[in-house]
Amino acid sequence: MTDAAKKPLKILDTGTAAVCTGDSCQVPDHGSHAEVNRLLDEDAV
Amino acid sequence: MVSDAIKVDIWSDVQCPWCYIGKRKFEAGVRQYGGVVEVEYHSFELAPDTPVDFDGTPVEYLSQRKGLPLEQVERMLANLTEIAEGVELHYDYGSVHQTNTIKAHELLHYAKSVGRQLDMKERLLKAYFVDGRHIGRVDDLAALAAEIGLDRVEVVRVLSSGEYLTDVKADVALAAEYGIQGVPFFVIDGRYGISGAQDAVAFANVLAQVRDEKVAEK
Repeated sequence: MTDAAKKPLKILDTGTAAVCTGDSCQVPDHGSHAEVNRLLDEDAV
Repeated sequence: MVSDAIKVDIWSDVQCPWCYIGKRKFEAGVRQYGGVVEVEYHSFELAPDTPVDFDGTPVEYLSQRKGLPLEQVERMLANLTEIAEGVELHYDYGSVHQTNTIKAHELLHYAKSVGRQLDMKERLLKAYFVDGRHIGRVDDLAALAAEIGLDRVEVVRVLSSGEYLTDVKADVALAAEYGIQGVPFFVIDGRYGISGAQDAVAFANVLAQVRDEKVAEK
């Protein structure tokens, strides 16, 4: 890890992209997944 | 002399579908960027309470954990598989072994110590998503390590002793310090954070921006 690691990060606005949080894996801007994502997000594992 | 290489620290889990897709997109972004990039992977456990030998399929796992109908989870994973095909990754959820990834993360730290982390990361992701291999048990991990030329006996020793567990936990702690809640997460040159499996051009643009900033700072 770089020495700069301890500095606050600037989070770049590169648009939404898919991430996994807990065992929820989202597909932003993907209509067919919207409902699944909502359900998965509700308990935010 | 100041190195021209840009350091990229990537937090991911080896059973994170977007991490493998994001890896391919990031690699494409690096090719578009065209400069030298030094990559280091860091550990992130998405589901640390998952048993090593979960008795069931990923569909059953997600269905049980989330209370979703099996058919709904099947559709979700089918869509994900289709998206993976878009970056030439042939996910086979029918053969995936849902497991705990702590030992895989320990192996990645051992591989880093011998200069082979990137190869090990790719082998583990492919083993899990494409090849239907188990990535939670020491003997299976040692076999995968041996496939990339690492010493099987030494891998069994370090994984059995938990020698690299503190390194895994340190990565998880640093992720929390950064406020990282989901993966993949990319830290560019220790200054910029990018969340998710972005398109290649997003990575290329950020790398070029950092290169320009580093030149201006000289």
